[in-house]
Amino acid sequence: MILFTPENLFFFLNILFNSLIVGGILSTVAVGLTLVMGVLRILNLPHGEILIVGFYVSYILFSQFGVDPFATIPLSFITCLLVGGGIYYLMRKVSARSKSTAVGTGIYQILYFMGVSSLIQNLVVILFSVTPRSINPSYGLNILSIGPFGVSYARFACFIFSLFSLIVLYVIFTKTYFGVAVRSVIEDADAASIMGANVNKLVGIVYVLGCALAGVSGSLLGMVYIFNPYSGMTLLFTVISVIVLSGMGSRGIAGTFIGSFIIALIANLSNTFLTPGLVQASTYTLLLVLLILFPKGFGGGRA
Amino acid sequence: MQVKNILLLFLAVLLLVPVFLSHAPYYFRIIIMLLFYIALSQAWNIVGGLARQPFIGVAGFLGFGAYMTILLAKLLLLPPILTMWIGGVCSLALAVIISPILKLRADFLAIGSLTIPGILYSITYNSEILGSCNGIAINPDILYSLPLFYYLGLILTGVLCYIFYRLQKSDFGLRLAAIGCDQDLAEATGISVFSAKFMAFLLTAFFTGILGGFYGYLMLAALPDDVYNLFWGIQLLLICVIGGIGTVYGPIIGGAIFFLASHFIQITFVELHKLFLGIFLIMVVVFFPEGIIGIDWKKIFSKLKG
Repeated sequence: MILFTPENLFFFLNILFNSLIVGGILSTVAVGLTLVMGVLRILNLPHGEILIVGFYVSYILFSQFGVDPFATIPLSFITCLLVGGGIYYLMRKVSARSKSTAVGTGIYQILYFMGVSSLIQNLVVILFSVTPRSINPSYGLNILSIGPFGVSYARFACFIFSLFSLIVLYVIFTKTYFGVAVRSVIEDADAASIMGANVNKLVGIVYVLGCALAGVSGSLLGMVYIFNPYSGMTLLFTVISVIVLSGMGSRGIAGTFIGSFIIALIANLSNTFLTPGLVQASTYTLLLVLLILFPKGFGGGRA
Repeated sequence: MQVKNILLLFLAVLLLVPVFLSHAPYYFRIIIMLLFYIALSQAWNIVGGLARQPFIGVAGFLGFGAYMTILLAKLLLLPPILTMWIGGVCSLALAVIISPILKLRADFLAIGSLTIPGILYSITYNSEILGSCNGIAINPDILYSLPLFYYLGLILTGVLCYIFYRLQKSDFGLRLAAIGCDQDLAEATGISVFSAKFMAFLLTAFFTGILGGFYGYLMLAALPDDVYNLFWGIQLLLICVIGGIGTVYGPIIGGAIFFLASHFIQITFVELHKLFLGIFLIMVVVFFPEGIIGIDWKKIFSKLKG
């Protein structure tokens, strides 16, 4: 067992610091997914796969054309915007149909999402094979030391970028007219439409923006993690753990950030102390346990 | 009277299939796998079709049943035909342990259920006694023969179809259907939602475990990449949706169409196989959400006539 000697304390502090950085990046994905879930009233199951699409766009540009990973972000934003638009366009038909049938539950939407995930995943496998890949810019391994802590430049830049996007999102959703309209749709779609909000249009915009945000996070996370076409789902599990822990969207961006930090800490600790083969199992078990303990989110937040 | 005769004739043909196919083991195996798929999707149809709970992680039960069957057959030297029932009971125990997951709403249930085969896969992959990535294999015993599997599969399919048919007519089945339509409303009318879902879940888990044992015995091995593949869930979804989700005929019709089509695609375009299934699932859900049974054929014919 590890004792708390000064060196170990330093080691743990470094784990804490790294979790803060990874948590910051994770919370960008989590905020996007929570927003989409808020307006759609259903979990966006292909979110992880869309993220992987964003990652591969960056990866191809970086490895084939030598473009700086941060410069590829606009393109992965646009690609995922288009992918999300396509998914949303077909989904409208599904929900229109399933309302006309006797079945009121969203099961057809879930089936549709499963089909989309499977399609994107296998398309990526065919295009890029299953070899695990990662984006390693030349400055990626340089270490920036902040006091006693060390962090690679790439990670730190990703952290700053995601903090920046979180702040932009916060400003949009609290200060602008659009943000207020979206929050009203999340609160009560019927009441919002009575008040004159174009609910369908808003839902579409938020869905597409959420997908684009996932693509951006994919480009960023590519510099931190190693991905293969199947990692989308594992990552989705991590992000859903964050959402469940941060109360299913009821605690806003700050709550999501704290949730991401806790999940990233658990992930980092299990990466450090478990055998590599069991790391995936620990991610899955964490989600299962969280879902069983808090079926309506931590503290029973509204879904 | 007429209907009864036709049914008897059909039954006789079904029973005599091994006589015709005994010299064509390839086609015989295809027929056996077809029966396996129909039975598996009929088992899933109880919780997924009748109660409309999108439990996609069936691979967990399937793989657990297969592993237990093969492991017990190897360690205790019992015939696999006995241990596959124990595999079903083991799946049942697993279902009881993870049953709190049924409290989740549909989309979280779908994602939560996917963690179960994932966890089992990782544990299996890292455990020596379960053979890690190579899985465990057994030698064929005296009973191992294709007609045995055919009749076993036929009995399992028949039993599952009968159970589903009776369930649909029963009080319990009506409760499940009510939950499937609107869970909150069902709870408000006094139905004990969790216990009904729990019973349906146990039924599905038990039969999926037995069928996992059947599959393991047929393949004489349990491989983690095969039995714990999340793809099983998508296949079963597709089968039930094609035929008509929540109906007795759904898995039979859907199973036949899906299995033959997927087999054809698999041997023609080896790599694109899974891609086609994704496209297929999207198309079916978007254009024929109620499956083949739900299509208004009269309307289509009258449109074609002009």
